[in-house]
Amino acid sequence: MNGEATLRRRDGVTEARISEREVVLLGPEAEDYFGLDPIAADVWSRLARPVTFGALVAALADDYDAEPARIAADVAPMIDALVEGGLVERDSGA
Amino acid sequence: MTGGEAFRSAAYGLIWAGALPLPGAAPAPPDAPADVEIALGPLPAARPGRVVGPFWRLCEDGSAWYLRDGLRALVEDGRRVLIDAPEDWSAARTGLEAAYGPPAAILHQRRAMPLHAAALASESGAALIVGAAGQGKSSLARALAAEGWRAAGDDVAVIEDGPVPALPQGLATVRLFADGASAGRSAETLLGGGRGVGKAVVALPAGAPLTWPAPLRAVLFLEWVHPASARPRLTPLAPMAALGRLRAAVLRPEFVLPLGLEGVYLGRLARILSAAPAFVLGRPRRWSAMDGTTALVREAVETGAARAELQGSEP
Repeated sequence: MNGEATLRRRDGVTEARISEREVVLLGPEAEDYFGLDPIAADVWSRLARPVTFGALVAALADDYDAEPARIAADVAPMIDALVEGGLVERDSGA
Repeated sequence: MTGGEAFRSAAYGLIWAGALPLPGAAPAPPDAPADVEIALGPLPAARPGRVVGPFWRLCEDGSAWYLRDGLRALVEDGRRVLIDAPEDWSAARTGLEAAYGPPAAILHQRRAMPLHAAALASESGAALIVGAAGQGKSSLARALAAEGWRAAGDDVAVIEDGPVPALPQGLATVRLFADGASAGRSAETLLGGGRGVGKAVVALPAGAPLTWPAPLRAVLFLEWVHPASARPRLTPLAPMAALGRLRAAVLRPEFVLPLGLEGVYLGRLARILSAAPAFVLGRPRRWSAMDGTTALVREAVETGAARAELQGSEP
């Protein structure tokens, strides 16, 4: 994923906390919800304001003390799923 | 049309007033204003709408039309039920049929999220018992009532939203298949024969006074365990795993999408499962296991009460 791509939450997403560290999301036109485990919930919380994929990965790498490349590989599919689920918008960054 | 307030009942956190009582409902406090008016009479001309689910037609103005075995009802604004029953039906039969149909639409229209579940409460708190048709919700509810638990709902249960989800008093009845109806352990009143799936409607014993609404302390998903000689068992279920099961228990889900309630209800379901522990309650298919099963319900509720106390979630 392009590190300059900007990620932002879509308007109208319902967010509900189901446990101390888990969240469920429902898109504005969706019938199926997304359940976020603690790490995915952390990523979601970091999308409260628009952020580039590169900045998101850098922040996670710092906080989780992991290689950015590994973080990027782990987070990219999650972002793809959130975009496909209508929960996050991604501009190309081009 | 006939209406007035000949009967006033309290159930599902609402005051129901009008031409029919809700069987098994507690009498309403005398000064409480009516939330829902029930009247008898011919229905007006049909309005534009579409069929949703097996018994309901939902109109563009949000009104819901119920048609089942000759009973017709119009439910509007979460406030009014107009019932048109066949002339040869007794008032008791009309009341029974009306009690298990129109309230679902009223509760959806009020965004109250009716659940297809049994619910009972004790001094330790309330248990919500979820299971598909035929999994023994009502039989278990009846056994718990015989041990002094109070009914918060059978087939229809409502959980009031808030920091501590709580159950208002429901109908003190259960609907049982013929084998369940004949296997009771206490003197009960047979209110009538429900048609539908051939169930009998049985009144539960009144039980000791309890303060309502009762805080929800456990959500239990019923499953059969095999073989029949197996012992009942209680298995904790993570909230995320419980969410899909509880969401599937929303009564008359065909109302949810047209009324735009998905997000509202998902938030409520999540709050319920963040506040009360969920369990799978496995029980074998033998009546002699009922005592062990009710003991596990009590254990689950006491676990939830202890957790709530630990978290300081009590108001």
